[in-house]
Amino acid sequence: MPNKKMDRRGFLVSAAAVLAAPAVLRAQQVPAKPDRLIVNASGGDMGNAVLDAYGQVFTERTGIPVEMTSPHDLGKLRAMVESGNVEWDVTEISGDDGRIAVERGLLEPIDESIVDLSAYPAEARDPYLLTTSVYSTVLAYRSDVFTDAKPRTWADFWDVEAFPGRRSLGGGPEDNLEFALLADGVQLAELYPLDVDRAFRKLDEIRPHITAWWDSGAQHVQMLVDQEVVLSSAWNGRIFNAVGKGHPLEISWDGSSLHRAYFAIPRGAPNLHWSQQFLAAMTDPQAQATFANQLVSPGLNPRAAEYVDPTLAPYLPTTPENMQVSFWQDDLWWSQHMAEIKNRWQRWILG
Amino acid sequence: MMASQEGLSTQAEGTALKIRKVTKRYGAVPVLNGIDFELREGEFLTLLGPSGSGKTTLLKIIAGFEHSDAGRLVLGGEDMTRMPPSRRDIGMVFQNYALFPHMTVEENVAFPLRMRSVPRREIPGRVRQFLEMVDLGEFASRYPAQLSGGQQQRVALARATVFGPRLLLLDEPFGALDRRLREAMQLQLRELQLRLKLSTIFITHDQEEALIMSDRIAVMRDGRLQQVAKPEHLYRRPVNEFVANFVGEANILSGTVAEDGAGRRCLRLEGGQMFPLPASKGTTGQPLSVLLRPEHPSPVPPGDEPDSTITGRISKVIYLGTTIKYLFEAENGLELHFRRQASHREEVLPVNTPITLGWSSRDLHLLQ
Amino acid sequence: MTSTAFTSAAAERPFGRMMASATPGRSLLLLLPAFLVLGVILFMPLLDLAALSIDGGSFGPYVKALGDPLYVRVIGQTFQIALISTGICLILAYPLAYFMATTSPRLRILCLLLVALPFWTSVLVRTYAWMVLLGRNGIINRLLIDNGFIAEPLPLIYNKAGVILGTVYYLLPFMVLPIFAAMMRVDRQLLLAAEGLGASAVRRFFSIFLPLTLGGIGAGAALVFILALSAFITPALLGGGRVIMITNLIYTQVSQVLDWPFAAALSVLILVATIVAYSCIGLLTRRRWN
Repeated sequence: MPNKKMDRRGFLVSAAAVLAAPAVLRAQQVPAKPDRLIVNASGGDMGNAVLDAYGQVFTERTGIPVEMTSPHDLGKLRAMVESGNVEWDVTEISGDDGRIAVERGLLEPIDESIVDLSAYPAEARDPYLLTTSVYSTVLAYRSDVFTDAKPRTWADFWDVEAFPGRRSLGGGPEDNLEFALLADGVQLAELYPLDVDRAFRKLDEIRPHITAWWDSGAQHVQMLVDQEVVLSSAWNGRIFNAVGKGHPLEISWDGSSLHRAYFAIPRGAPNLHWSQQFLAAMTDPQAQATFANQLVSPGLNPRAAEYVDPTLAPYLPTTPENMQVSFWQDDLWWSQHMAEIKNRWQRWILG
Repeated sequence: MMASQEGLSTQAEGTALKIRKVTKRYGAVPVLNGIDFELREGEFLTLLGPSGSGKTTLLKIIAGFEHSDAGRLVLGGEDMTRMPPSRRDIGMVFQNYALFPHMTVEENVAFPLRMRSVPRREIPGRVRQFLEMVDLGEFASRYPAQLSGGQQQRVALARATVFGPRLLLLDEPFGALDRRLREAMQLQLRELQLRLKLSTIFITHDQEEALIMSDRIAVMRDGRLQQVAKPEHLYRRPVNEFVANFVGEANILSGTVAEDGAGRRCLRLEGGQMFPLPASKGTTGQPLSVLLRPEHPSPVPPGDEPDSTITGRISKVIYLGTTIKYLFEAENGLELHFRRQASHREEVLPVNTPITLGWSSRDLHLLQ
Repeated sequence: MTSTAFTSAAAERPFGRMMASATPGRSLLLLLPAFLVLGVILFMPLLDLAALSIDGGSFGPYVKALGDPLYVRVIGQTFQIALISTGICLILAYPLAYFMATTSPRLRILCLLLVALPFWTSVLVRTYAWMVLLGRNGIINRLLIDNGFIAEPLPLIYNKAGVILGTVYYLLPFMVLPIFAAMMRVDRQLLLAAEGLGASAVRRFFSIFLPLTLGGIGAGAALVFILALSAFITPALLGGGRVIMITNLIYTQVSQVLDWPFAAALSVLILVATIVAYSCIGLLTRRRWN
């Protein structure tokens, strides 16, 4: 299901079909409240936005303060679960990491009697992973360098004659294989399963023009801002912020890679009931809108759209015009091939 | 204050080192003030003085580790006032020995030879010879940390002499040793120095050590040379009260020159007593101090009539084995001390024994 | 663990003597709590790690690590970078430490503060600062271009040189401080003695000063080498994703691929290599004379 590009019409239909779920009064006995709930996520803007948007709602509802930690790390999650010493009540576990965590049984199932997903489109419902927001890896460039002809597609990114300049791509195989295949003429709908050999052959072409393989969101923004590179793959939220600060950057949604940010509950989490409550708070449409307004990274509760700042629409990955030219990255495919491709990637990087 | 230098010009031997009007200040504080003396070839000269008298600074200037502000140093006829220490050919033994901790005894002693590019095959024999001279033949391959203080001292001595220096300097080398070791080392050093005919300057603040070892002693105080003389001369004829007190024990009698009824020149103390002076020096009324060493006053036996006497009582007795030290208090409050050879024929006088002390005017030495 | 061994070897002699006077039995008894704590918090996890690396009773992870040219190359590159960084640190630190040891006390304190300054900022912040400084449009390239020394910006980061530069920068204090401490312990009188015995400045340095500060060099080199081996952030950011060090490899295996036995095997290999390197440095700079 999530390994297919989400069909736009399906998404809209299910969104339209949503009815406000009646609040269910629960007579069950509620477990004792912990003195705080520890929520683990990416640090920086992401962590702050989680606290502002969802932490606030959760604390209002329960009176339990939220403490953020970072970063999210699959290895650490596994170590916690396997040693029975789980520190996180809720953790972000995005992309293929989330799929691997499910596969390895590292997560508690979502209790739908607490976390109401009835309004969500079927494609966005998962027994373990709560899709809290959507972000996109896009093509970003310096608008002051490319003033006439602007790079639009990954084929343009690969075209160093028409669009000369130093470039950067992410430091792992994820996204890059897809971008290479798109540059090589593969259609959005036909990306998966990836033709890995073809992708690496295409990557060979661009390698000499890559100044650096970025390691973090902060790094690709800084390289663009410092003119270390003039073209880069980038996260839409980061570029949105940089543009807000007045940096001459633009993005193209063409061929952008949609990602789901997942939150989940580690298996054996100490305050399971309250962890579920936190996930419930994360489905709150107004909270999702708050989050989206900060990071241009909207949630999947269709009602959230009502509260999102309408002027942000062109910058949201889920805006229909943007989604139409994007693809959902297939977490499941990646989780099944990660070990092998990672090894091949490192070998290729050392060339 | 004038420094007196006896008999320099009459010596037949050559001069090893000339120090001419050496002056040194640290900021505004003068540390050395016109130091001026000569060291003869093969002579063992001791710089004696309390701490802060400038003796170590003088030694550093001779070694070249510090520069004088004024004055000259002439070593074996060569002006070395501005010569770097590494070219002076001076052997120095430091207070804390300054042995190289990462080198064996053998390597330490070989060091000055290697620095002088002595042919490689000559070095081991030479080193061995000097180590044997200081009885350390078996310790050649040890490290300094594995040696006792006395042994380290001897390594330092061998290292400072092995290359045949023009001058040997020793900065309170025995300060850290216990008494017995110290005495043994004093003998060994003197023996070595005589054997190698080394011109040597030795620093100590211990007057007894200075008297035992030296050909001549230079007494320093507050950056000035007080007197340079042979030990016995220094003891008998110190130029001033400071030297008299610093070298040996001293009774200093101060008063004015006067004349007694018999027309003899006398010293009149404040209390009015008169003691005849050895020579008819000075004019009446002039202030004067004289030295009376404690071995000179003695209880006056019946029938004997020395030219100076004083009566009082014993106020303290200190038994020292071979000698007995008495503190004497005269009826008018004047205090003197005197020594007696311990003898089974003579009883130790108990405290408060009334006694008359006497001495000859010849025993008095006039101080400046 | 290993670093304490070195600092104590370089410790002052009087302390060593003081300790030597205690009976060996009693001093061992005093060490018991340390042994227990180290045993529990250090050796147990290490044993666990070793056990994990042969999980399933095979040496497969080791065969994989040493049989695959990729991993051999990463290990080789890691050692190369650590070694070069250590060398550069030494060349920079020794004169700096010498200046600090010989200058006035006031200037010395200032220098110590400056040297220790990087300790007070996070590695991440420092590394980003380097990116700003060394980039194509960074301060250094700007200065060089504006003054006409070069026409095109020099590639100062996103390559091996950038990693080495960053590593040297953040590890320099670990080299300076032990060497500085060793220099402060050198008895100045030994240098005077050597001078008086006829040694020129050059020979005083090579015969006396250098050997006496070798302990500090050993301690510093060991610290820097081992920290450089385990550097993670610097290569990740300043290497532009091209310089893969063994820690990056281990991280990938632990956190992304979840092949823990293999990660454990890589860790054990780097640990063994570290111990070997450590012993070599120890032998080279051992103080025989105590």
